[in-house]
Amino acid sequence: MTEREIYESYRAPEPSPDLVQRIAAAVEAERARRHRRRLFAIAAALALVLGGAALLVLWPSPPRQGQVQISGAPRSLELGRDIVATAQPGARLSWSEAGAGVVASQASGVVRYRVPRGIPLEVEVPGGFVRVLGTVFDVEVSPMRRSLRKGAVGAAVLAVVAVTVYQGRVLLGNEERTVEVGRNERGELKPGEGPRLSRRALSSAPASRPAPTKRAWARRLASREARRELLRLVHRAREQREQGAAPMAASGAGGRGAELAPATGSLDKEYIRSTINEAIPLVKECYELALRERPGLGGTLKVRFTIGAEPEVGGLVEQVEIDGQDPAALDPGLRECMEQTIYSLEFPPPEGGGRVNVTYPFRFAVDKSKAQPPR
Amino acid sequence: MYDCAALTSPVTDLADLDALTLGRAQRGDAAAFRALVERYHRPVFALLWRMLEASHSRQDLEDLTQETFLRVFRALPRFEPDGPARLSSWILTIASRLALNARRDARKGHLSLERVELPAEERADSGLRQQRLARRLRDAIQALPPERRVVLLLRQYHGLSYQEIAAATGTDLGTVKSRLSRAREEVDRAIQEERADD
Repeated sequence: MTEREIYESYRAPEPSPDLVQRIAAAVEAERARRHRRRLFAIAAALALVLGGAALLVLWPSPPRQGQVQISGAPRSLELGRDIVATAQPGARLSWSEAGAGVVASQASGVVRYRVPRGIPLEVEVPGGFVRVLGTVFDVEVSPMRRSLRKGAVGAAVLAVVAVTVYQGRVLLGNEERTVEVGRNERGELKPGEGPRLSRRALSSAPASRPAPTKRAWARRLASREARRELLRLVHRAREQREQGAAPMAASGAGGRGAELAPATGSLDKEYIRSTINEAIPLVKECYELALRERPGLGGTLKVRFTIGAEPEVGGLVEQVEIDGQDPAALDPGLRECMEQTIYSLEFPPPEGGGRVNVTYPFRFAVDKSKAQPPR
Repeated sequence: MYDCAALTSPVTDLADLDALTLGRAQRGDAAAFRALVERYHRPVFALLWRMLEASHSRQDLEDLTQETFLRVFRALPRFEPDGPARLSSWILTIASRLALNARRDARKGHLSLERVELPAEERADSGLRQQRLARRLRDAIQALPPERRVVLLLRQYHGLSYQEIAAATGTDLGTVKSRLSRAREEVDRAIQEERADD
């Protein structure tokens, strides 16, 4: 036998007759599985696309525009999809989406805006605007009373706008000029004036401050609601802290034209007087506004206020009362403007803690439309 | 008992599928693929038989044949008719790798081992001397290590070139020649012993 014949003698049997049929059936089953998988993949892709589209359409989106007036507790608002505004009580705000950004209009109050980088936001404020690209900042609008605005040129000159920037930069401006306000800076927009920059770093305020300017006083004007809320918190903390504590010896402070009633603390009377004198421009402004409504208004207006000490705050005007029987003292607009002005005063805390009561008369007389401080 | 009325002969001269049918099978034509199965299922089954008859049942071997063609079906669109491999050697490559894997699985006990004896009909229809020679040859082949056995089978029964065997077994040409030489030596020794016994 040859080698080939020997190897051929080891034969494999013939496979089963139906093997080809079975293989063909298995291949067809495989083909059907692949077809189903392909259909499933297509269906899954379609479902993914349709689901994504539905999500985009049905996903609850913030209102494209809105208007709020905040009372009670502070409130967070979504302006468009990306901007968050926290409005304090007393704030009035409206907004609408404009392209990729938001245009807001803030009439009053304090609102903190958080703006992602690259999202345009413009806040229209009385007399100007704040334009921003990615930052966190406060806009504080302190309008005057409506009754005081009658006869004025327009509302734009009757509000004080202060912008405090915590992150990034904003552009503060009006129709005439703009200023950039950077991190830890404040910008101001005063009635009748262009925007200005206050470069005092927020975190580095000196313990004994230099005499504030007229504009610096203006930015201290806070809404009465915010002031009252702060006082409520201060009083509550103080009551808890001072339960059973004996009051400190106190002496009053006074000076020419000032009657300082001693309470439980003490402050240098000259310092109190100089602080009030620095606020005279604002007092004059209050009187000028009142004269536009009531020409010839005059008389003496007596202000009684209490300066308290609060560890976290410093010297704080806690309570203001307006007294007097003259027409000036009875005019509600002038009373409120004076009240707000006194509330905005900043003093060092009374020595040894406690409180200092101050009584300070203002005499108003028509002299070419100028208010006269007591002499 | 196995139906051994018709035994397959070596397929060294098996002609490949024509290009037209192969092209249609690659494009998913069911009839063309069936033609491919009909053309190649015997050599595939024969290779699997000679590789695994000592450890696998006929049903197992037919299942492995089916699995071979399922893999052919999945990979056929990527087969290059103008490439270095012939269709027959490409299919036998798939079958031989399946056989080697099945052999390893059988060693691990994944498949039931079934010692297969030569069919009685074969013994009855063959001369005693040829019958003994065939049994000795089969025993010698089955005694080879699987790596040598597959080389010998691909070369001796299916006519693959050394290069095709190297590609099928994933080894180099020298290893193929070495394994083939050793396998032949062992088989020849067994045959010579059988002849000497006569």
